Amino acid sequence: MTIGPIAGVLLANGLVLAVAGALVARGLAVRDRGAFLGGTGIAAFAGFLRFAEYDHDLTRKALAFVVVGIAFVAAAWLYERRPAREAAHAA
Amino acid sequence: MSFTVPVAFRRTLARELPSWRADGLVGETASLALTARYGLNRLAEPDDRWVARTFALLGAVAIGAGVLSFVAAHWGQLDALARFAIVATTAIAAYAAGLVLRGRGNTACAEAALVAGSLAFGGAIALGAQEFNASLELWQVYALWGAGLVPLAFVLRSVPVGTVALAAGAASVPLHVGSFGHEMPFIHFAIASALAAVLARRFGLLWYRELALALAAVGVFIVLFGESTNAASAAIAGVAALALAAGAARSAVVAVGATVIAFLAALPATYWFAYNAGWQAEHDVRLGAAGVALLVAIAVAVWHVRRRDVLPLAPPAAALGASSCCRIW
Repeated sequence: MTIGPIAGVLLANGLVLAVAGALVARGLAVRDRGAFLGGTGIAAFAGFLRFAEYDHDLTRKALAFVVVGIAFVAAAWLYERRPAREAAHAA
Repeated sequence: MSFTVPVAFRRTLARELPSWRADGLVGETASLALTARYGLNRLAEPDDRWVARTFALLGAVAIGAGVLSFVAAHWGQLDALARFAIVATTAIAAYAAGLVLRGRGNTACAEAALVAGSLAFGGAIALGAQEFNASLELWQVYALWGAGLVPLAFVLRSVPVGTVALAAGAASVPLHVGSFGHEMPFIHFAIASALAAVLARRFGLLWYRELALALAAVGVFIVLFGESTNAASAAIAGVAALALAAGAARSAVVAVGATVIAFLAALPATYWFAYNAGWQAEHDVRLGAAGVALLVAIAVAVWHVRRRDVLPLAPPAAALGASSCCRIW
């Protein structure tokens, strides 16, 4: 079977990101730090490669980075508050 | 309460302590003291603070990259004062926020802010060199950046700041090797290794050594990726073979390096797809890299299957499978 180069790009990147997502999900589910860090590392490295590779407007790339960064910080903030909420429920 | 010894050590101690008591090696008093000292009765409690820390750090790095990209996009429209104001204000504000948040006990966000400040510090070095026409090469910027962060990481005892220092130092060595007219910089490499050892000793973390190896592998990759020659493919093959040979010896340290190199060997396949139509030259490089990626993927597959851990096989297999579909080679 032969597919076009664009489909190949999407397929390869999609598969890499799917594995990264699966590793993160498994890491969170069973508290496996290695799987979690491996998944985030793969996703971050793939993101860096795409940033360096594609010739898009730099302002648009900057906006995407800031949005993703705010989402990550918000996730960290919510996750850090979670034990306190759970402790309050348990009490 | 936090412990400076690895969790693996505490688990081993908790497993061995009952038999030590039964054999009379330690008395009840010593056993209770060890249990209290290393928190052996609290090992079952879940410790997932690393999740929040990782998310916060990734967020800080992404926001920092976004700010840097935005500034770079409008660099030509800014005067020198505005450039310094942006970079210096970002660094000072990030450090201040980190110290305030650390004082309030918000560890994850504090470390993220300190990392953002450390990244801005690197930007300030590059900006200073540019504005004052200092003839610094790129590797010198990275070396100054890493060396400058070591005292801060040492004083703050901040593992993330130390990691930024280590990454900058690790990047400076291969950049030095790759710069024009330079021999292998053994003295530079020795200084970078000594500073990394100082940080590793200060932090007392065993995994820091593994991280240093992984970052060194990334540094090697950066150099090799920029070299479109058969020598680059041969070098990747050599490094991968060495790492896998050591990994087969069941060394946990090099096993991490072998996995990282396996991913790095597979990822260029996704990068090269975009140039599939227009890139006709360097066909032999692609063939060599494809062969290396295939060998690494097979070796890692055998290794992981023997350990019954198949998930890490997927990225190399996915990249190679997609490559075959496109008939790029």
